[in-house]
Amino acid sequence: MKYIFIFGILLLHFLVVRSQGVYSTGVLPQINLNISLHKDWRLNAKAESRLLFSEGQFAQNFKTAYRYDLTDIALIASKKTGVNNSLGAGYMIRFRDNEVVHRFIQQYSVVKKYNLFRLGHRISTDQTIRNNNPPQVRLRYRIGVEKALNGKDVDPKEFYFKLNNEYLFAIEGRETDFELRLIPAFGYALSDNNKFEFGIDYRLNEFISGASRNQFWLYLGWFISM
Amino acid sequence: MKNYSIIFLIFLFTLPFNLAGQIKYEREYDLKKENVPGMAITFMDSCCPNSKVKWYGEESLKGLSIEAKVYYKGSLYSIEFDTSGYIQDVEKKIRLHDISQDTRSAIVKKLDSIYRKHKIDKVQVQWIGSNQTLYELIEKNNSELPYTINYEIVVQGKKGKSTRMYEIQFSSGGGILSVSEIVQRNTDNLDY
Repeated sequence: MKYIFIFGILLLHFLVVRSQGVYSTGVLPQINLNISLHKDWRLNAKAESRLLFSEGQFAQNFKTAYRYDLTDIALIASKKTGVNNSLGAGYMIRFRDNEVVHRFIQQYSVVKKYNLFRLGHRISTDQTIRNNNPPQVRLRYRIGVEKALNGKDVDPKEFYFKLNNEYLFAIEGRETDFELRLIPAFGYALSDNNKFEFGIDYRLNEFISGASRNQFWLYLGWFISM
Repeated sequence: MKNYSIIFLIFLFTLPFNLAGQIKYEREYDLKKENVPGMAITFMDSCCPNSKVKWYGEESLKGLSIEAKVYYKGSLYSIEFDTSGYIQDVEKKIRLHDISQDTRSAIVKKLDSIYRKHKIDKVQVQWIGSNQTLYELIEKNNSELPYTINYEIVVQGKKGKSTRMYEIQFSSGGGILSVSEIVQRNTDNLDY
């Protein structure tokens, strides 16, 4: 029932913003490779690509326009600072057309287990450097919940549901922006160290300054830990 | 770059799934009421009328068991049965201050001696006894009939430089019966 409710909220939002603003759709595959190191250190290597299927204005007819957009490669080193929390910092490089973007990332995350679900919080900041643009600084907060679809915990060879909701505040020169993200996804745990996720990654920004920008990504994630 | 994206997608979907099954956990799953032994259902109907019971099957090294979880009179109970429906124990979530002062002091003293720092996350009282005794304990929190009382405490304990999670079982006098480290599940998909 709750999944129908979430879908309903998304659909409602889609209908409300339909007549104004721009959209893009596409697929967002990512691989997360996590390596445990000594003394509670971990290394997270992530590769993510964006492939656009269509973009345009809601008021116009839907047009497909397949094109490759970008690839991100990130490396974050983090240390467990407690049973449930960890502190990390890293670097991301983005390849987009002929441009190379550099981003420095700092993050603090807490994941707590409750009787029937796990709840994760992540606070992060990042600084992005691009040619011919002022540096962009962002402050992000993400809350995520994971619920097994059978039993209390996600056991191997079981499906689960995950919902991430993120708020981003960005400053670039004199401009500011606020972005909302909602990512409902289903996951399958082949084992505790090998999980697949697929869902919708919806992003909304520029809704304060003008016509809203809506992104609908088909999210495909693969988390491998070793 | 278009070619790279196609290679990336192929890489994503074709790598062998050879990382499965490296860690073993106890397995638990939802259980439909029609698959629960009659004796277990009768006990729950009698002890906690008009309460919504969630049933779980649990597979562990000890074998199979059945667990009923129920909120009754404002408290969360976990009631364990064997596969024939015979009751094994009743656990009730409580606060540390619900434990008598002598036992509580003994427990805290023990934790202080084991860990440099500790934080208690969860406290449960465990009752073992006959069906009649357990009915009375659930209903009135005490019974004149004989029964065993233990405490299960989940604690974050710091030994050396690292903090881990432990489940410690204490006797009614505050003596340690067992200590086991809780293997935490992977959190990578919620961290990154």
